[in-house]
Amino acid sequence: MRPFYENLPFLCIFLAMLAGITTSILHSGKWAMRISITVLTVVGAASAWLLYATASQNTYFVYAMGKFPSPWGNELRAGPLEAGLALVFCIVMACSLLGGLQDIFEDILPGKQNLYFVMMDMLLASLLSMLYTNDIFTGYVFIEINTIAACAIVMAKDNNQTLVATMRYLVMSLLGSGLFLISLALLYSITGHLLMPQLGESIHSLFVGGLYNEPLTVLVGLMVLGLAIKSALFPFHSWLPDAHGSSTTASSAILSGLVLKGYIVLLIKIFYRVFNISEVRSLKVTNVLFVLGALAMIMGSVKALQEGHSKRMVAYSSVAQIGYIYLGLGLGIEAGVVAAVFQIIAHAFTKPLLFVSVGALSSTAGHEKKWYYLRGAGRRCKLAGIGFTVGGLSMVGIPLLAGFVTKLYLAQGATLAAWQTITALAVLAVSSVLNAMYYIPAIVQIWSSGSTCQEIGIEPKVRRADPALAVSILVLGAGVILLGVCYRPVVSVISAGLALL
Amino acid sequence: MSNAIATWSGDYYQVFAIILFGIGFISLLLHKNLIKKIIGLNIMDSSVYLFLTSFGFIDGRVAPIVADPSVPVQMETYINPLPTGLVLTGIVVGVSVTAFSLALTQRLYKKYHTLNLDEIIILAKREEV
Amino acid sequence: MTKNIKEQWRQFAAWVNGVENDEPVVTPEEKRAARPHLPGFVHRVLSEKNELRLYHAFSAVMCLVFTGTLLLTVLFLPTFGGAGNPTENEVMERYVEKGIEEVGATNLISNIILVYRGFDTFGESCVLFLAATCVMILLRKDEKNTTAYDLAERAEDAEIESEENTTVLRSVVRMLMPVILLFGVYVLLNGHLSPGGGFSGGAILGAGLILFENAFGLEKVRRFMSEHVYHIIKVAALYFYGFTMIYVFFTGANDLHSIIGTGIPGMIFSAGVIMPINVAVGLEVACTMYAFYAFFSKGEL
Repeated sequence: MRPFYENLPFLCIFLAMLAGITTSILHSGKWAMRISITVLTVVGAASAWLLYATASQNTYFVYAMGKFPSPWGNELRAGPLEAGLALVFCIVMACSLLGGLQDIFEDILPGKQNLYFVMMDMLLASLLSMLYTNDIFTGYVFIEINTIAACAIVMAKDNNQTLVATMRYLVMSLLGSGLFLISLALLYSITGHLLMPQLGESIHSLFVGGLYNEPLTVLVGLMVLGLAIKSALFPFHSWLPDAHGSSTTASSAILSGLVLKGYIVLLIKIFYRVFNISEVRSLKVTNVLFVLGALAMIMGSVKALQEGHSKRMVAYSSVAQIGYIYLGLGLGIEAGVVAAVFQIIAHAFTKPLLFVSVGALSSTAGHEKKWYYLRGAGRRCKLAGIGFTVGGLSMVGIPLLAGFVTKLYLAQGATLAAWQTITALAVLAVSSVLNAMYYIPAIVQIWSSGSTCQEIGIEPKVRRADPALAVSILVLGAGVILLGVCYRPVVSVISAGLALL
Repeated sequence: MSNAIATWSGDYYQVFAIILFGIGFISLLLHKNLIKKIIGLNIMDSSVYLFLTSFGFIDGRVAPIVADPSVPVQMETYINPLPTGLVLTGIVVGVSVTAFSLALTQRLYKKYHTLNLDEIIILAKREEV
Repeated sequence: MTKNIKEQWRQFAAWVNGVENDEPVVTPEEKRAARPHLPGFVHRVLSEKNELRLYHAFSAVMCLVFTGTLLLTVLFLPTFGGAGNPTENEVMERYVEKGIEEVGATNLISNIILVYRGFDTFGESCVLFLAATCVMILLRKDEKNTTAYDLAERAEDAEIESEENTTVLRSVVRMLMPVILLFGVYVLLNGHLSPGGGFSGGAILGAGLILFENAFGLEKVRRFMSEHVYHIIKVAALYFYGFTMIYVFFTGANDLHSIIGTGIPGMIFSAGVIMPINVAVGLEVACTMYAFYAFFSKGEL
């Protein structure tokens, strides 16, 4: 009999799945929402317990699904990194749902609201599985669940723009998962294993023996390409602005904040557990990721700069922020990966904060999303205005906010890197300036006096933040500030978790 | 080169799977018609499944279904059952995403009365302005 | 004459391409404007036709690169069908040699997908459930996706499917239906002994249901399979599957005593949880297949 907390990852995943199945027969969206929030709370509490249990003993455990251990049966694996990320994902998902609640109930027809929450529960289950899995094929199955659920929450608003955006998103995603499956087939054919520990051993012996070098290179390339398409790394980002910019507030927040990160975490797990970071570096994959990440940081910001539509601007800024994560991975050293994981957490708090705030701000101007018409919106919904200001400044990289710490650690990592130092520092500087060039005017615009939305016949109205919105903005904002002020414990948990991987 | 041809003709199953992959991939890229795109996607998926099953096959062995369970089972009698199981999972995933994309296509067709994705994107943009 | 055939072919091609009327919906100018902005000098070099050609060439090159790389990779992979490949290892050995002893099904694949790697397969059932839910979100009749025109079209379809028009179909279906259902149930129940199982058996049952609906119409099917019944079957099957899996995983991982035995291999009641799970999955798949069809064609169950 193992300690009870080791059952938690498995129970959390099944709780989320069964909640999704139950929600599909409810008639009321309100009850579906309550179930989802309850599940998120329970899973969050369980993850916190798990984090405490694993981080305090600095240990990890594997959990066989059934009585057959690896390499025969499916397995889960949990350590401080997985538990911590699960906790972050639960908090962010709950806050995004609460912050976008009003929009969900306005945008979706009453008869179909419960189905939206089915997707949320399944999305949670798939994110947890991608975090905890020790089996690469389980990873593939849950990538597909994640894809379908993510496409479904884009189209839930059900207007023409979201349908077109969903189609593009779906085609690109399926291409990505097809490539991932091919690389998985190649991996299986040269190792004969699907579970990460055994895969790691046999890949290592292949490296030592110099066998199957060509298939290894191809399969790593395909795997990275597949996951990069799905996580919208530049230049595969073309689907992202439409999908994230047109969907309902909560969907945008969750897609930008969590769904993209799920794939990247899986990629990090594969880099560490199937290969190890020096083997990945010797295959030159990290160099490609570094270049693409740097390009994404610049091009995403340039595109955002040209965008007058508030949500699309924030979506393009996601492209740039994903670039930061890949830049960190591309440094090819431990410090870079720590910075990348920190950026995953920081962005998971910041981007939903921005999306929720923009959603609330635009509701004071009749849901008009153009920056031009949002003049003075911050004065009409003060809390959302403050939320947007905090999030925007964090993106720019003002000290004491989460974004600054990411940049700090990335710069520190860059100084240790082999050849990337100067490029990385230059790109970081340019990207910060570009971020400031579009976030600062937006902040000025929402705090300016007067309003412009009368020009298109919309009466500006004052919105008092309802409790759900207030909780959401306060928690996410507090997260951004806390990550910026006391970042040391977070970084030490990340380093410990990565060392155990 | 002659070596390569000999290897390819030995691995004919995988070679055909990859050619199918190419066909599916190019129809996904080149066709504007959504239905044809989805067909391309399906061909691509199927080719990957063929590719994956090929790694389970071993010459001269039979399907892993035991006829007489009273005799001890020898590994040398049967092919590798694992890829077959994986492909079964993959196929169901393929069916699901096909249903989803076809449903989307039906909705888009009802809205715009065309299946051309480029035209649909332009029409959607026109509405937005 | 030839012109007529050409004209008909053009119409047919338009119908295949899903164009309802001949007038282009989008003007060429708009199409040109929607193209990605190329630098000015590229525009001067390229006419519109060349631009399209460039895209086609680019796609072809992409495709060739992918296919070529993979073909080259095949050269370096283990030989197809060779004994002693890396895949023939201790994993396969245990699945084949210990499968019957440890799990109990003579169909070794069902041992793998339902017990050894049961978590994957549960995830896969959830994918199917999610797809059904997505189709429901998109196509279930509501004020956003159904116009008066659609309703009129559906009424016309119902007219065509009326009793006097489907006599042949109805009598054939009356004869075929019992056979199809029997075969479906056989495949379902023998999933652990022979090729088949939940997914294939369920697909056969679903096909039978679709055929029945085609012949006798939605109203007849509703007598035993309304939306309410569909939800109950789907949720009950998934609940049964989910809780069985929780029990199996929990007892297995914690080394607790499990009440699930293997039975006598080769008998119909053997192999522990495999047959009940096959039945549950089969019911879910059958319902989902039918639901796909019904939502696509009618927008309701």
